[in-house]
Amino acid sequence: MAELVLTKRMIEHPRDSWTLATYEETGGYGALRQAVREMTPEQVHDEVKAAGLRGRGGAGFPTGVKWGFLPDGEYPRYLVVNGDEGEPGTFKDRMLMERDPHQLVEGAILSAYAVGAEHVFIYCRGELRNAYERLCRAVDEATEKGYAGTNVLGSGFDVKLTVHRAAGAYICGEETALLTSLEGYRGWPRLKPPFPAVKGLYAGPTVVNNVETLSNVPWIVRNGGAAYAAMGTEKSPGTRLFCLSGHVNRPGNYEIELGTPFREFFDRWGQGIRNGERVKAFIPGGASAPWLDASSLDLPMSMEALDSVKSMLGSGAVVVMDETTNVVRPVWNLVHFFAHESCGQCTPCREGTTWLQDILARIVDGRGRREDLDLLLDVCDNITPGLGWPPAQTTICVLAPSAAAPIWSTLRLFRDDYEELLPTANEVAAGV
Amino acid sequence: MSGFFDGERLTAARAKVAEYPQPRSAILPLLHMVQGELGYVPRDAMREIADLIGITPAEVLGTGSFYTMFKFEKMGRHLVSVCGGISCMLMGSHDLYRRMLDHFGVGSLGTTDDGEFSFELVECAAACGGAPAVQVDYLFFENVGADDGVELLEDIRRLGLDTVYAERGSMTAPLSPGAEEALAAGPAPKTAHPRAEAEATD
Ligand SMILES: Cc1cc2nc3c(=O)[nH]c(=O)nc-3n(C[C@H](O)[C@H](O)[C@H](O)COP(=O)(O)O)c2cc1C
Ligand code: SF4
Ligand code: FES
Repeated sequence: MAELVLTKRMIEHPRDSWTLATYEETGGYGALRQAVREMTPEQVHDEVKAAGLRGRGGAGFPTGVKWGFLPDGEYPRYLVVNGDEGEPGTFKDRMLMERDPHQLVEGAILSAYAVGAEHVFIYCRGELRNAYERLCRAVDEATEKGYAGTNVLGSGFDVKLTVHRAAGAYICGEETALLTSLEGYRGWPRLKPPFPAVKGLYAGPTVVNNVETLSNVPWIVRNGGAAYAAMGTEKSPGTRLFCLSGHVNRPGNYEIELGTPFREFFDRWGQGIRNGERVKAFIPGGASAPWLDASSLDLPMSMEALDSVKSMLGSGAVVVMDETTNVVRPVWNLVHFFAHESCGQCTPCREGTTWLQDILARIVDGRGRREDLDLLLDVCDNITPGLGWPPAQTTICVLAPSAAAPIWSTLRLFRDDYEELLPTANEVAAGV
Repeated sequence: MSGFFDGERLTAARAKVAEYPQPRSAILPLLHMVQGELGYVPRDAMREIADLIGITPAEVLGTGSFYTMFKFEKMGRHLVSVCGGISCMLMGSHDLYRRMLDHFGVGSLGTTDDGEFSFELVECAAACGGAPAVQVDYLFFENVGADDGVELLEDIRRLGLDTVYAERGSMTAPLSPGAEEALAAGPAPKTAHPRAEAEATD
């Protein structure tokens, strides 16, 4: 039976889940006390490994394994919490930061203890004013209470936390861009390798983890990695927050066990599709994921099942569109987003996303040309040769292939929607 | 003439700079300090920031202008950011935006004549479950229907943002409406999926 790992407190204490008093009354900072008094850093790291926890920021990389990449004996080390949530359709990290900031702070302190980081930076998306203010307060309170700062709970472990407010640039969610931004520059991604674990913030060894990823850590330390791994599927253990939006009757953030089929998720949690319509298309994991149609509704929501249909759970954002929707306008919306957020370093991305956006805009406007559909695929192929999944990459980061995914996937599944918007031969001849 | 950073502000700014292993990291926090008070970042303040962290004013502008939150010209008293992202668009946010602009007689990115509101259409605001989402001075209002936007802003003009936010803002909304109910129903039964089974036997 699944238990709620992340959202129990905010559901049971909707009025004050974010306060230190409620956090402590519900067992908060107990895991930290236990860890610094009874466990070595290696033991904390081992529990996270045993949990099989995978990153919730998009790529799904095993967290314990990532921590193991830090080079031996190199200090200072940094832990950076990625709270830049900006992928269209995603709104879970904001909720975790607003409604349970202490859970994240405790998770970050525990993780810093495990990896030997002396300074934690929480990079919080700038527009999330409430999240930022509550995080600042949580950090102040934790420091005052001796959960952070020098000599944490008398253990001799020192850790400093800084909440850093970003300023509106989606690309800064990409981990290397985030580090560049945190160093005080324009948020430009860097080539990998070197990976942040080896050369990250200020060229020091750095772990970057997502807000949701780290919010799981207090539960894992308290209950043991094995208990976490017992939930979900073998390759996607635990629960996960899914952000459900679009044409469902009850959109929202829902923490569910991995492995639940999409159909059930839409029916039970989403309470069905609005106006009794049926699902036409859905995005299974954020703006970067290839789209699916109703034939995939019985697919379980697990990373391995999504791999098998060449898409992904990505950031956990599920956007549903009903049968009254022509998909081209929403596709244009996403591509416009990526074009706007391209940092401009790589030609295929800077030029390619602009082209794609312009072509889609004229199709939506009813000014498309028949050749445009092939042209779209051609430009996509220049960005990500072969149009496969996981995508081939010609650019520094994966923003560019992300912009191509909605296009090639919908041209395969919903080509009729594109054709429907093209002017007919008569219309072209008549010049209307 | 005294600058932006003096007295208490200077102390706070110096503390920000000291918070980071390298002073340049304080550039966004300092820009936020200025914008938080003035609603935009004037040139003189950029010069002061440059001095505080030991870089040139051109570097401050060059970095700051990469980030869409920073405004370099005077704005209205309140910044209204309507989400144009995919989920909000599916729920009609583009209509909502258009109606607000028409009602106040301004263009996109414009400011009303009385200086009360400036408008922008923004990328996904991380509130897609409450689409269409609107932020006023970065405070969230969710489920703002195309017909409700104008009324919301007129109420803010009349009663003040704090009052209206306390009544109707996102922080007063229940969390994931229905989450409790769905949870009470218990965990989803595991339905085996043919593809998953095939994988498991591979
Ligand atoms: C364009 C782009 C945007 C991203 N945005 C975010 C983001 O907003 N939040 C996040 O946690 N990860 C984001 N990521 C993923 C991060 O690069 C990184 O993989 C993640 O923060 C690692 O944490 P995790 O292992 O805990 O998932 C983004 C990646 C790309 C390529
Ligand atoms: S792929 Fe696009 S966003 Fe990523 S580094 Fe290149 S230009 Fe910048
Ligand atoms: S699409 Fe509007 S908040 Fe995400």
